[in-house]
Amino acid sequence: MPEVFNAPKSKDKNKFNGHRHVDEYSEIMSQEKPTRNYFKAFLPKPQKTAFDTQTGEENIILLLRQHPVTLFKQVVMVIIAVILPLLSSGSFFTDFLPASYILGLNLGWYLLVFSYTLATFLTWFYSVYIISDERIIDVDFVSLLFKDVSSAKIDAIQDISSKTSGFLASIINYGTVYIQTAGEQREIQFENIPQPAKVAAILNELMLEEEREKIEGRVQ
Amino acid sequence: MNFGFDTALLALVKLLFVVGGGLYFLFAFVVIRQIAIMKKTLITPLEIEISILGWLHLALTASLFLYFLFGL
Repeated sequence: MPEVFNAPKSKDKNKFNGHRHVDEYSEIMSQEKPTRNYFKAFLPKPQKTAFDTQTGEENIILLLRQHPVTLFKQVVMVIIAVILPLLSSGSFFTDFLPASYILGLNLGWYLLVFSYTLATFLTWFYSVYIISDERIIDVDFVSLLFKDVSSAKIDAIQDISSKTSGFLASIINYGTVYIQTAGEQREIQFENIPQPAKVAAILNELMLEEEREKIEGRVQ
Repeated sequence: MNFGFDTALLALVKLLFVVGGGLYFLFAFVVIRQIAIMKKTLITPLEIEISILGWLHLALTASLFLYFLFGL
């Protein structure tokens, strides 16, 4: 039987329209296991996850969020807000308003706390930095009502640097990755992400792979 | 005289509660809409759980609004 009818060899199995699987060219990503914990801030090869502008051949390599420690201020605020009505139970409102109004005030207050917690969680959960084998995408939900999405192709990346500043950031290992691009968006920042040096190294490996694709003519 | 003043003041407070509760109820709808946009932007297997949170929030704000309207 001619060679052309033979099934693809194992190494070619992971090729998607000229793309190799990330494990084949990235030493760092080959050591990372696919994750199913969707609440993490560092999700290598996330399963059953996609984004709205994802193309058919595009694969998510890494999904990042701000490190949970950046939510410390909000958590403290929620704790204070929860215990505040208990501390102020003898306030002037109790002398002035009937019991049903006080109950309404307390219910309203706790619902506000719930709303704030929900909004903070949603903003954190959906503000993601996505690294695919084609692009980097920065999805920012600044608040519940403001969305900002910017992206750049891997081959448009010109320079990558990472910065970890502060005592806590050094201990917990989180920081910001600055990505200079040749696109309309001159700089994309992955702010307060875990393991910034590792992310910068992964991006460098992706850039090298893009170069290799061009040289070997695997670019579509 | 004093009784009339207290009643009027309570009515004003109730009106503020009802208006505030109504606006809050509308905000809960905005949250539902925003959750839909967020779910479209990033698709994860947690969509149902997050939708439930949004609807729970809406149900609670609706309950509070009804309490302000009929319970005070």
